[in-house]
Amino acid sequence: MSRAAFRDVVLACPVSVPYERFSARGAQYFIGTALRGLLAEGGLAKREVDGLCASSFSLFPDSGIGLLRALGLEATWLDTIPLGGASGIVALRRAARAVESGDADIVACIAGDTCAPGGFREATARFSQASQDAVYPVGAGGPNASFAMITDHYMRRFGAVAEDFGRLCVAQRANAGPNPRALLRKPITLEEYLASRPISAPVRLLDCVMPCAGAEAFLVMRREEAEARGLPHCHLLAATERHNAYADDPVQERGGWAADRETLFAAAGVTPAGVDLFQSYDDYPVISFLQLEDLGFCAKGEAGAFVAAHDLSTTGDFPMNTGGGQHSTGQAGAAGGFLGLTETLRQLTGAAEGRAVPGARIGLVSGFGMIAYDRGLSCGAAVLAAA
Amino acid sequence: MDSTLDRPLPVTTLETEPFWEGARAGRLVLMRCAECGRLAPPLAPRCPACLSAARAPQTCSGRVSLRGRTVLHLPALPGHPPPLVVVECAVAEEPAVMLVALDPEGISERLPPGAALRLGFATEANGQAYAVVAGAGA
Repeated sequence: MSRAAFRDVVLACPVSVPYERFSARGAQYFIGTALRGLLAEGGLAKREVDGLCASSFSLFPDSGIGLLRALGLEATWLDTIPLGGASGIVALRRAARAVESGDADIVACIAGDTCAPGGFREATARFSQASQDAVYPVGAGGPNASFAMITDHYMRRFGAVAEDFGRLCVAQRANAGPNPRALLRKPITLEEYLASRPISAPVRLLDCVMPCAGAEAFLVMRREEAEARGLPHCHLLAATERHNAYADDPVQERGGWAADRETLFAAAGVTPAGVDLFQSYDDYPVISFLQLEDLGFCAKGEAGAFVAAHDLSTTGDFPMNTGGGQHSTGQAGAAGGFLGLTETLRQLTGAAEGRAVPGARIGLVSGFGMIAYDRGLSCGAAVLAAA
Repeated sequence: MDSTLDRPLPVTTLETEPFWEGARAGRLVLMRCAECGRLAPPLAPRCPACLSAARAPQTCSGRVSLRGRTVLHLPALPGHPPPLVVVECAVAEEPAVMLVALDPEGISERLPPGAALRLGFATEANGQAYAVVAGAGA
């Protein structure tokens, strides 16, 4: 059965709460700051927001319901998406159906996390029961080791070398230069990348995303609502999600995108060649490689050659992670899964100051989340179009 | 103990008890489904193929093939200073079942993917057992 297309659903009001490397504040503070930003950006009274979709690791043991109380919101629709880097795409899909059906008129999608010194290690320690049971006894519980296994496998299987990953990291950091929100803006060279110290070989320091505190948010509503309010917006053309795909692959070398890309592009009415900008989920470069391949930009195993053959800058022939990606901004927990959406929304509404992709009409955003010590379990992607 | 290395220990349930008991005795014990015959990963709550709970423990050979490898350069395990070699291996009796093991002697070094290894188990002073690479070759 084919899925029903999204009808006249738009995204508006991208909000990014400035990132901090460490913070003594709580997750609710960052999420509340994002909500305040959404109201200011949209010229909305708080009571006009009748739906909330929240994502956070450090909010635990609370969920969205605790946020309503803490932020004084009353809602007719509420969801909590515990899917890490896939949260943004999934939140968008949930919220889109809510406004389509009229269950809500304006949904605030917010992801935010805090990051205390040592907090990342703590968060890692209670990330999943599977990791706790399967790999903590041998010391390999965190994302570095998991992505190192995937990277090691990818290198052996497809003949990739460190320089392949390094080129992507260098290009993304260059894109961060004009992005005032990025914590890491100083350009890096391929030599610096190669010389960076091993963390969980073959993963180097400059492969690893940097944990931080912050939040990302946007509003989802029907097109007529945004037009009546005069809010700059972009359209949701298509979006897919797939969880626990290819479970029998011994080591992850593809994600659920591969199973859904035809559905995604057909529903959006575009082809990979028609995409003006691409935001991958970029916590480690190998995962960006899988997305480039599984979303159809190049064949399996050829992402390294693809990156080397293209200019990923905002004025290049394949603008990718146009604000520098999480790799440069930092990863504010679940907000990392929203970053590609807020960046694309800015690009498609003419709000990407100093780093606009000229003439951008179509943006593809990808999400990837919930690394379960040997593979990421959730994948999603969305195609957005300028109004 | 360095408190920054503290991590919650595995939680033993009725379903995973045979695996952990076997591990403490140095044996790889997996559950084989009585209905469909599939061998389950160590921590599966039921048969992941058919969802049956009718299963019987089976002692496996410990023979595995190397799938992935990483060298941890940051402190990760109390009493085991870095670098630590960690490998991901597929169980010979059922290649879809993956195990993560410590390779304290670096046996997997310079071995290609797919290379045959033998797994054993070690037990920490706190009673926590974990898989280790015990040798190379079938």
